[in-house]
Amino acid sequence: MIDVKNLSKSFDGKPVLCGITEHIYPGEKVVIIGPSGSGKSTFLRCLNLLETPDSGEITFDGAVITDPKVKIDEVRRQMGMVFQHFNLFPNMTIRKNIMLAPVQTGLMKSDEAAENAMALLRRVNLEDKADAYPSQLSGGQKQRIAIVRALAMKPKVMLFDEPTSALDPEMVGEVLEVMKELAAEGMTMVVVTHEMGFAREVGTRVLFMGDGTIMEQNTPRELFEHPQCERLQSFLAKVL
Amino acid sequence: MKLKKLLAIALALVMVLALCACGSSSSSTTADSSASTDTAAADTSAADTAADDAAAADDTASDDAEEVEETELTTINAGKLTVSMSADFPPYENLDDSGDIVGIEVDIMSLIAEQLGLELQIDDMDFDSALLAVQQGKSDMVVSGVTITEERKLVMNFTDSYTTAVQVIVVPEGSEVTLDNLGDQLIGTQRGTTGFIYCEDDYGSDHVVGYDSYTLVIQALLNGQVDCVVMDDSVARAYVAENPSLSILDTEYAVEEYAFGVDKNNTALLDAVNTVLNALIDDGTVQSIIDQYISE
Amino acid sequence: MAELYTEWKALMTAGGELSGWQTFFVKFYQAFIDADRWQLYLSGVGTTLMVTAMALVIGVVLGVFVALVRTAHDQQRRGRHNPVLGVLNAICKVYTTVIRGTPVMVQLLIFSFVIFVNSRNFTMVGAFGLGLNSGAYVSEIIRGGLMSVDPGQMEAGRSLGMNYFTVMRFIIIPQAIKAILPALGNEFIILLKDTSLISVIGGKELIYAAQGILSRTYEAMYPLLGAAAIYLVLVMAFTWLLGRLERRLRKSDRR
Repeated sequence: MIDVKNLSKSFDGKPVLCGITEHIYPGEKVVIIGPSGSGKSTFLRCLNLLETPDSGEITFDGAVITDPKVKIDEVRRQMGMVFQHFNLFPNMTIRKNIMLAPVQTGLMKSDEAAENAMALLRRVNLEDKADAYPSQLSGGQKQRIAIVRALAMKPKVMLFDEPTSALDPEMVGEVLEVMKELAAEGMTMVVVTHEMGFAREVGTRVLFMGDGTIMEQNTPRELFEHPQCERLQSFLAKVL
Repeated sequence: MKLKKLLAIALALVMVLALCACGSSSSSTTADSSASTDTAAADTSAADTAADDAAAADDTASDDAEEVEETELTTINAGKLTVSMSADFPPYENLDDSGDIVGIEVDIMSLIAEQLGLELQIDDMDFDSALLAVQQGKSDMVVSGVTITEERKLVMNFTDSYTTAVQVIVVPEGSEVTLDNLGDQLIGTQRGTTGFIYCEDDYGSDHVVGYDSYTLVIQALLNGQVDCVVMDDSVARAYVAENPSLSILDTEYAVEEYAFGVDKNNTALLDAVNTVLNALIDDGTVQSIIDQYISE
Repeated sequence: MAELYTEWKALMTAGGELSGWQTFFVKFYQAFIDADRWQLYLSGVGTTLMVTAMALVIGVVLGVFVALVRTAHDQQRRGRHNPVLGVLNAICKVYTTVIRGTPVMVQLLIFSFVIFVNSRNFTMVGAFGLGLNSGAYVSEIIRGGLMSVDPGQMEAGRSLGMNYFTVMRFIIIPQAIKAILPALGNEFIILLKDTSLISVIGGKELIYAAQGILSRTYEAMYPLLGAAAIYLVLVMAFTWLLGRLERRLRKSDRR
């Protein structure tokens, strides 16, 4: 589904990604773990071109999206993204937050989008917040809204960039719950996270990144129980 | 909310009142000092006659007079004759290439200052400010091609007139402006000059544009932004000499008398300047200075 | 009133002594009432307000354009520069640099005496000059406002597949306005006061009127204080209006 070839990226001459080649298959739940600064967030953000790679090629659904001629907006419509800091639009209500993109991109008519928004809100048990503003919500609620806002575009793949890192511990559960449901429905997911429990439970494959490369990958069970490389061993020793 | 509004209004009032208060206090000092002028005038009447004598007498006698003035004359800055001037009025006063102020009035004033035993200090500013400076006691005299008018007499004393000036109409080459159709034109003037006031009175302010300096007025005329310029004859000639595309209409717009304005509170200075000035006029010095700058 | 003025004025001219308040009356009457001079101030204020309004419109339109060009240019994805935007951005940069780097007085003189040499509508030239000047400052205000919005907002909007201008319009600009508005109000106040400068190119606004009266009456204090008071009242009225607008915005913003 997403094919990454030889992806490289550096910031101000400092290499962050060093020639990553990877393939993400439909229905996979790929969890990316690794120490901070390992390039995992940058890798994720390159997938929908929020960061422009210096070199390499990304193919999504058969289209080479790193080609400058590709209409990037159309590609992004099929890739939902959830951010660490939610990035809800504070100037509009929750309902408008969810409706804006489908209506503006011409995916749905206004009333259809409103219905869809309410359905999505019911799904995360937040229908009573439809007319509230983001500032009136807790962090966990905001992130659940952010997830359904991305889902409103009916994406084929969902990218999660440390979705629980900015949350108070007691709110992590409710967000992970939504993500698990999503996974159970068969959504293709790429998740950058520090939640090892989630990786173990939901992930179909776990990538361990360090120094801008994928150092090791395996099924969660194998990776966590039989880590091969030394870096992963010491990383796991610290986080588990 | 209401209270805040009230507060704001009150604050505004206080500010305005404060401004007015400053104003009225300064105007009352003017009244006070004009009262004291009377005594000052009485005091100097002796010097006055002495100066008269001196003017009639020969050089050595005028040296005597000079000593008398030195002891009697009070000026804003002791020992100096402070003169406000708008140095954009050739050939009466203008800046030469090296930035020094030169001109007919400058030469006359240096002679006067010399004979009064004072050091001449010229403060260059715009014309309105030059007139105001002498009213407000910031300068002893205003020397800037000042025409004697009734209104100006209210706020300053004038010396005897040393020359007459003619207000002429400057037009670009080939212009159809005449004195008779002046009312249909856009007339450029320097704001605050008699030309500006006369033209506004005669033709209404819609037909008159006042600029801060003659240089700008002439530039506007050259650009075609005004149809003609009303200004003093001799100045006009200087500008026309520099700009061959301009010419002066033969018909005069107005005839005026030039004099120096003197601090209303300093009649002693007025009398002393008059004495010297008249002597310079009588012996032909003034005329020769004028001729030196204006050759017909 | 008029008789009293004539009588006292004659007395003053003759060098007679007047009490403080009589002097005040004569000078005040002379500066504001005699010969219907208040009408001059009034028409001057009219011109001042008109010039301010025109300059503001020009300034805001220009400022918004320049700010959008420069922000859009700076927010392009690396390695994908639009050449047209590049040229526009360079022009905008030169414009803001030149305008902000030269005194507004000099700009006005150049406008009137060098560029618009064929125009006799000095007031309009002045309004245009001030508008062009203001545009540079407004563009920086707006740019600052747009930059003050969290970049995550743009990323979130773009990640949903909306294009740059949609995100700008629905997400970034509404949030930036709260930062922009107070600074813009300040710029408006500066603009209102800067209109006094157009008197140097023959624009007949409030100060031109006051100076005209000054040069007739040889009395500076009352016309100038009068003009200052009028500016003060105008600015205070506007500040009050702006405060109300800001309060309303804050009410709708339940962040």
